[in-house]
Amino acid sequence: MMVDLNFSWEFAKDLHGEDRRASALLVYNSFPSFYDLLTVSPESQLEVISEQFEIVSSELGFTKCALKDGEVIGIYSALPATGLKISQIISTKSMLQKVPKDIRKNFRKKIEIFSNQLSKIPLESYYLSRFSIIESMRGSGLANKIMEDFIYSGRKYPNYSLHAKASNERAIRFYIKNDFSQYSNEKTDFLSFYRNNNLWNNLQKILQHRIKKSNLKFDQIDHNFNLLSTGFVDSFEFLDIISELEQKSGISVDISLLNDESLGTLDSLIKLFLRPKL
Amino acid sequence: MITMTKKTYNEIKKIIIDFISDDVRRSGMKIEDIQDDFDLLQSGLIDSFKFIDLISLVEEKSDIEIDLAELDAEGFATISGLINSIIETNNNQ
Repeated sequence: MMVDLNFSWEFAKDLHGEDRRASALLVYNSFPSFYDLLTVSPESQLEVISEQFEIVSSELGFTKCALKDGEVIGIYSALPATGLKISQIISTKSMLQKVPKDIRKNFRKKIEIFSNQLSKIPLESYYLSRFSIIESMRGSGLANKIMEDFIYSGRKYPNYSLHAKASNERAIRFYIKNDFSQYSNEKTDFLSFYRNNNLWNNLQKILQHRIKKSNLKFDQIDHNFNLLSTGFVDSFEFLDIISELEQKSGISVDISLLNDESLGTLDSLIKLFLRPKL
Repeated sequence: MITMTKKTYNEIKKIIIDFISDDVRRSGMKIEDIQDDFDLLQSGLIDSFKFIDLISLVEEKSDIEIDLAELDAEGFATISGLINSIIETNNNQ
């Protein structure tokens, strides 16, 4: 399907009115069985979700929305898995604060039972907690674009992780196509998947002996470090680094795509390798 | 003013200690060994859901609902982290 995929990113917390509501609806759609534990009206469910966009440490504190022609067409939320437990507590607590007192105890108990249906995920990972696109954009390539942004956001973590409903074959096929593998064999309603992020580690290994020869220290080389403008390497050696990374990662890249302003930074290199398969 | 805050801190601490005392005993530790920077979750002393119950109890007894919007998740599950989040919410109200 040929669809124009020009869209912009906004954080959900910065959206208002109808856009905010549409983002909350997509969050709901990504995990309806969870939000339905809240036995309140659909509008109240959306309000509860929407409020969590503002809570930095909640599961929805980092929620990005794809907007096209003023319409929210997709969302994802992500966070480091090490902070997941505390984020879930904060999210649950914020939901409890918003529901009538008489249903709080019941809701808290249901969440406890529900959580047992989530398989374990690797702790050292960047976790995709919500992911959804509007129906009309299915098959358009938007899901790949969102996945690309998620992978890029978590580029500093050794793994990526997520949960998928065991019965959602379409989603599971998509994650497997995007190099995710099942992580835990627990027989639960929500299976866990993970994907290694070896790019950053490999790039560090490639640069190791060059750093040793220079006057720099390892901690001076971060994602914004520019290999070219600092004179760390010349353009020929820069191409050698790309070739070495191609060999180590098994990914072939199109260097004609290296034309942005940040050319030469480690970030731009990683981004080049993280472009989704066509 | 400082004395009042301190008293409030200790009062909240007492609520927490009373709540976890059975779990502490079961784990073979002594209440005296539990420092303010003790992480209730990471230590495995209580699980997430019991921690939610603890927050609710502390909120109820302090008559305050923690302001979650600006909450720093780092250290929140320690005894002092939980107490300070209550005190900070109180100070901002």
